[in-house]
Amino acid sequence: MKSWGGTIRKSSKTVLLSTVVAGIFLGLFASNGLALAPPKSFKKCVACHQVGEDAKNTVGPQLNALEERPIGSVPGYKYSKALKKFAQENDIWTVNTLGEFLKKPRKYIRGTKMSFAGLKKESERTELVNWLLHTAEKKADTSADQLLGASAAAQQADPEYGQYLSGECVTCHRPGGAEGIPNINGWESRNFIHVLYEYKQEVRKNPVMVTVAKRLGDEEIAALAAYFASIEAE
Amino acid sequence: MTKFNRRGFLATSGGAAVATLAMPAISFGQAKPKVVVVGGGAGGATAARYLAKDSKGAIDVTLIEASKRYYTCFFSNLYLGGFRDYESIGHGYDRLAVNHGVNVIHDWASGVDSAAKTVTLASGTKVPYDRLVLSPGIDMKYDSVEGYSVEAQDSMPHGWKSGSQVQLIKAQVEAMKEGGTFVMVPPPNPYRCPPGPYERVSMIAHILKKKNPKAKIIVLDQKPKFSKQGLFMEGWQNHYPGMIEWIGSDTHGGIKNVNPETLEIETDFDTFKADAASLVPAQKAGTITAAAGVTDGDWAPIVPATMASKADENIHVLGDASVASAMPKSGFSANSQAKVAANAIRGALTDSKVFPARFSNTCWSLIDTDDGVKVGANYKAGEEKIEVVDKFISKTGEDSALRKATYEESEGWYAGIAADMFS
Repeated sequence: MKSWGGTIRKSSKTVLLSTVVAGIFLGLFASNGLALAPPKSFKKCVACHQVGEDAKNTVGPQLNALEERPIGSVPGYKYSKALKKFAQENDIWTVNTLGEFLKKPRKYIRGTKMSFAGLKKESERTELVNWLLHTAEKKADTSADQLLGASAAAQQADPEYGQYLSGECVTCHRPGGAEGIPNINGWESRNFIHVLYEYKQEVRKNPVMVTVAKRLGDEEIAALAAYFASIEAE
Repeated sequence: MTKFNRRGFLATSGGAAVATLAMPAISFGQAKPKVVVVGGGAGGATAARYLAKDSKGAIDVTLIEASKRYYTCFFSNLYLGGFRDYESIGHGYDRLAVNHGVNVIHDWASGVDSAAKTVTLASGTKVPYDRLVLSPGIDMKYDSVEGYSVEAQDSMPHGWKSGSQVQLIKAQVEAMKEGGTFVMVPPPNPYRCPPGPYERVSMIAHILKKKNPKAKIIVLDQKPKFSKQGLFMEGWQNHYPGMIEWIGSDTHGGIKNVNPETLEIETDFDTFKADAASLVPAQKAGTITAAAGVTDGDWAPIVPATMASKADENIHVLGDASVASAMPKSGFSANSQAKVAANAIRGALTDSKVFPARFSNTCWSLIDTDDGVKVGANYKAGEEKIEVVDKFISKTGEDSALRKATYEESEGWYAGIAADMFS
């Protein structure tokens, strides 16, 4: 599973630069050339979901930066209770969980609003999941006033302190991520702060992260956010 | 080596020394400050990597480790249960040398001269240090159980240092006669990896459930209670009903002796005859700590803020060998302590910023396929001891999706800590 994810990521890097056609494809993308053309199976999603710089919530939430954002966290979208409950137990979508969800959405998350039968073909799912998680538009569509942790964002960040504090994170978070634990390198600092605040306030429940976040003050959170933002994601 | 260290020199020579901060090597006509790390596990490999990486070449870091390939103790149970292949828990040291310039010496550190500040290798070479980091892990106290010995570990493997001993347990479990009995004897406190013996029992049950479903497992504990007890007991009931019987020391009254030939284990309560067995004896800090004169009894006391020995400020002791309670003896703990020590050592040798010590630990255990549980805490340095700040533990009765996510998280952690030690 791991090496497979890694290979996809590697190949996406090289293709990313050369693909400017993405913007024209399906008329969904802003023509900034940063997104790789979606796989064919994505056509099944576009009636309800948008991706790209100007993506908005329609029937379903926009799907930007799916890998980096907490499950069920797009501002302004009204999620089902079932998905909110799922979000409390699962922090972010992984290759595994998103794959299972897209296989049979209403079986995997009973009570989800998403009225989609599912993608039976494993190869199609693999392709779609990898594209959604690793290559679709990366920038989260969250404006600063909807984010938590403004007090931390206002802090002066000490990069040396951030590097020291990062020692606690990288015991688990490896560059590029791994099964069950996401990559945190290269996260935008406002997203990073927002997520840590969600753990601090126990909106997100993973006890490892809640324990980590509760000990962090604004100075520490700012230092960490700046540090991880400064490292290039693999 | 010159007689004075940089610290002492700086203290007495005032302003003139300031200029030497940038280029100590040239000013002194001697090599860069030297840190020698003994033991290439979760404590030692991490310490060597962070010292070399963060000092950007300002510190000369040498790692002494006997094995060329290191098999982690953590996740060796998953190998036992068939969830991992053996090579997936093995790691080499090449990248520490190539990526960070660590001098890796594959030899056995046999002695320390703390007055001369040198480590003696089995080959006879003496390696000088300004600071020494000892992270040797554990040694077995074979004589803590009557009848047990170095030789007895072939028939009743402890398997508590990973490697071939764990392979032996796997082979013996798989060769057990139909409906046979496996006896596990977990160690008394304190020991490496508190939930480890019970995860091992779970993994053996996982194999037996498929291959030898009438087999039984008896756990003759050398303690009255154990880590994550409620979680394991519940899991055993759910996944392996009727297969596992745990008997605490309160009930059996203590292990009187074992017979490695007949695989009989005698307690005050009864004599148990095993078809295969694993016995984990009491433990002590790796012998190099005693040779360095930093142990008090079986373990090495440390100053929590720096992980420096209470007996010698130039020697830091990490991981299982140290007295780091309230932290458990675990790979995660050792990795966490290594970063605190590296920060303190860099500060002392190169005047980099020293930040307050922060420690953390999480121990994941797998009970059966997709049924993972965890316990953890974070810690700060108290005056005398490392103190808990906040802690958590999985709950009984959690749903299967959460348990699966916990297991997947443990897989992610393994990838993370392996990269943090060896990449």
